[in-house]
Amino acid sequence: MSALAGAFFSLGNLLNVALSIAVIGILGVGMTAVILTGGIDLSVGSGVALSGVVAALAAHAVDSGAATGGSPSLLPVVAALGAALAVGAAGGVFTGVAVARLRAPAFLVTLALLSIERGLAFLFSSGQAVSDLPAGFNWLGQGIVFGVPVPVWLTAACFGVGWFVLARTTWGRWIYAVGGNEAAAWLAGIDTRGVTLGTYVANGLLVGLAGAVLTARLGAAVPNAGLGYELDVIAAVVVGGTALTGGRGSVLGTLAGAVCIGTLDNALNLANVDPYLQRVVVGVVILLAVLGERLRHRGRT
Amino acid sequence: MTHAALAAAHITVRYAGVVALRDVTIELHPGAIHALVGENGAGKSTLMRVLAGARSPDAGTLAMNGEAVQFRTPRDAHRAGIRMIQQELSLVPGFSATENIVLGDEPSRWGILDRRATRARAERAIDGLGASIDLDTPVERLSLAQRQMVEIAKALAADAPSGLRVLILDEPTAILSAHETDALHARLVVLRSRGLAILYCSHRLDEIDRLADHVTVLRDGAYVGGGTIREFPPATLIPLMVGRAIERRSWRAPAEMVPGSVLLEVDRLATAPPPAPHRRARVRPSGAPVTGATDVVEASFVLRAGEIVGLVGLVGAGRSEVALALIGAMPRTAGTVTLRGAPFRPRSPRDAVRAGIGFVPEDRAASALMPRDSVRVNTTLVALRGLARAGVVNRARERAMTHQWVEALRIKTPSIETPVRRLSGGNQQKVVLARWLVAGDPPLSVLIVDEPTRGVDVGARTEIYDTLRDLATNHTGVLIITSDLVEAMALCDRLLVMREGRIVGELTGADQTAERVASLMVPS
Repeated sequence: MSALAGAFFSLGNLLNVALSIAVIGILGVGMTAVILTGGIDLSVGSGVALSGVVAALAAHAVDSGAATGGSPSLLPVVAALGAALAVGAAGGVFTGVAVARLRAPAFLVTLALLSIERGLAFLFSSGQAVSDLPAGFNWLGQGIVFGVPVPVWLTAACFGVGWFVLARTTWGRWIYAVGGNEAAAWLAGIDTRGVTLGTYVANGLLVGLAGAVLTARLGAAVPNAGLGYELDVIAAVVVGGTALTGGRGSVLGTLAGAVCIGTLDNALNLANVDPYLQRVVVGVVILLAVLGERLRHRGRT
Repeated sequence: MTHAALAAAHITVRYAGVVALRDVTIELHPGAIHALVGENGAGKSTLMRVLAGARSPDAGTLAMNGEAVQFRTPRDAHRAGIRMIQQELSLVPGFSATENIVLGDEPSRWGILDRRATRARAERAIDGLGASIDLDTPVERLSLAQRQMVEIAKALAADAPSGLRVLILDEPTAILSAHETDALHARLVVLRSRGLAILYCSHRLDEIDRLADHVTVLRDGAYVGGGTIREFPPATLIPLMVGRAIERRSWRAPAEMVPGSVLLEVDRLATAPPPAPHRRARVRPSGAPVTGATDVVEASFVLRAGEIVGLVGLVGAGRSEVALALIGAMPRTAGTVTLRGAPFRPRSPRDAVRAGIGFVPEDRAASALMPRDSVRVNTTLVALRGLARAGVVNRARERAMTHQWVEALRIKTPSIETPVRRLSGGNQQKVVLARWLVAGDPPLSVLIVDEPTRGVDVGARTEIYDTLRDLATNHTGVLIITSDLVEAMALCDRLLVMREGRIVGELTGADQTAERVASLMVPS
C-alpha cells in the first residue's frame, strides 16, 4: 500500500495526472460557463476531433505551399492553431445563434452538432490519422517548460482566465444572471442574447484550443479523437458543484471535479484495478458527488 | 348544532419566524358558502393551505364532523374529501379535459387504462357541474373559465372514500369576465344545494354579498370579524379589511406642489397577443395567466416629473401589459410613446434601461430576483456596468454601493452576501427597488412599479411608500400599478382607471375616492 502511495505521490505521477486532465480541464472551463447560463454543449468531443483534423490539414496546406527550403517556419504552426480556434469558434457561433436567437434547446442543437462535427472530421481526414505535423505545433502538446508540460500550463491559464472573467467581470456576472433568472436579467436591461451567444463562442474557442492541444500531444489528428469527452467534461463540471439548471457554480469547482476524477482514474490504474471495473467506480463516484450535493441542499431548505 | 364539515381552531402558522397566521378559527358548514376576505398578505392563502393539507399549522387543530384530523400532505386532505382550486390552475396543458379530470387516479385494469370508465367518470363530473365542455380538446385550447370548470370537475370526480365534502376556491373569479363569473356562481350554488361546504376567497365584495352565506375577515394574519353575510354587508367589510394604520396616513404630494415637465406621453397605445406562446416575446409575471387577460386596447396618459400616478383596475384589465409595452418587453401594435419630447420605441427592456426607465415587475421571484444570488449581486444588477472599468467590476465600489443602499432603504439582511431568497418579502422588494436607485447612467427618470407591496409586510410597506415619494420629490416620474385601492389612495397623486384594456377614467384630488374608482373599474 505504501509503495502504491509512494508511486502516486511522486512528482512525475502528479504531473501525469495533471497532463491526463489537461484537455478535459480546458473544455471544463468553457462548459462551466455554458452550463452557468443554463445551457449545455454535447458537441465538445466532436469539436475537438474536427478542429484537430482541420488544424493538421491547414498545417500541411501551408507547409507544402510555402516551405521548400526545409527551414522550419512558424507559419504552419500559426495556421494550424488559428484553424483549430476558428473551427471551434464557428461551432460556438452555430450553437450560440441557434440557442440565443432562435431559442432552440441547447441539448438538441449540440446533439446535432455532435454528429455533424464528427462526420466532418471523418470526411476531411478520409477516416485516416493526419500525421507529420510541424514540430513547433507538437510543442503545444509535448513541450516542457520549467519541468511542467505545456498542456498543463495552458490548462492552468484557461482556469485562471476563466475564473477571473466569471468572478470579476461584468460579462461573468451577466452569465450568472442569465442562468439564475433570465427574465429578470432581461428586464434589468441585460443583453441576454448577446451574453449567451458570447458564452458559446468563448466555449467554442476553448474547444478549438483543446483540439489543438490533443492533436499536438498525439502528434497526429485522429478523426475519432475526443470520443465521449462531452460526458467526462460534464461529469467534471457537475462533480465540481455547478448546477445543471444554471446560475450556480464556478470553474474552481470544475477544476476540483476534474482533478478528483483524474486522480481516481490514476490511482485505480496504479492499483491495477481491472479497467472495466474502473469505469464502474468512476461512475459511482460521480453519482455519490451529485447525490451528496442534493442532500446538502435539502438539509438547508 | 350540526358539526362543521371542516373546522379549524386556533391555527397559528409561522414562516421563518414571521407569523403568517395568528390564532385563527373558522368553521365550514355543509351546504353553505363561506367567504374568506382580506387584503393581500392578510393570511388568506396560508389559511387555505392549512385547510387543504398543504401546510401543517404550528399550533391549532383541524376537525371534520367533530373528529380531529391531521393532514400531512394535500393527499391526506384529498382522501378526506377536501379539494382546493388554486389561482394558478394545476392542469396539464397538453392533456384533454378527460385526461386531466382523472389525472393521478386513472381508472385502469392491470395497469392498462380503462378508457370507457375514464370517459364515464369525466362525463359524470362535467355533467354534475352542468357545464358543457369538449372533453377531448387539450385544455390549453380551452378558455380560462372552461379550464376552471375542468379543475372543479376534477375535484368532483376525485375518488375520495366519502366523496367531495369541502371545496376551497382561491380567487376563482379574478381571471373571469362578468359573464363567466355568473356561470361559475350558478355552479357553486348547485354544489351548495348538494351539501358541499365551500370556502370562497375573493377580493370582490359585491360577489360575496350575492353568493356567500358566511364571511370571515382576516387582517395581518389575524381573525378580525365574521358571521353571517346579513350581518356583514360589503360596506362593513371594507373597514375591517383595511383597518390598518396606513390609510390614515397619506404619501400624496402636497396640494400646492406643481408637477414638473412631461416625461412620458403615451398616445393610444395598444398591444396584441404574442405570435407564439412559448417564445419569450413577453414576460408574463407568472402569477398572471398566460392567456385570457385582456390586451391593451387603448391607453393614453401623461406622466410628469415629480408625480406618482397610479394605474388601477381589476386583474386582467391590461395594467401590467401597459407597463410591459412601455419598456419594450412586449410588442405594441399601435400608438406612440414620447419620452422627454422624443419618440420612444424600445425594442427590448435594454432600450428602456438606457433611456432611464426602470421597471419593477409584479412577480419578484419569477421576473426580478435571482433568488440564490446575494443581496449585493441583486442590488447592482442594473448599475454593474457603471461599477466596472474595462469590464472588470470594482468590487470595493460595488460593496460600498450595496452597503449604502441597504442602509438607505433599511433592508434587513444579515449581510450583503446573504442569498436574497432568505430575506422577507418586504426586504426582497426593497432590493429590487434599490437596483434602480443605485446611481445609474443615465439617471433614472421614470420608474414603473407593478404591485409595489405585494407580499410585503406592513412595516416595510410604509418604508417603500417613503422611498417612492422621495424618488418623486427628486423629480422622477413614478407609475404605480396596484390592485390595492387603499394603497392607490394613500400614495398616488392621480389615478388612471383601466377596464378591459382601456384607460376609462382619470381621477385627481377630491375625486379620488374608493367609490369613484370602483364604479369605473367595474362595467356598469
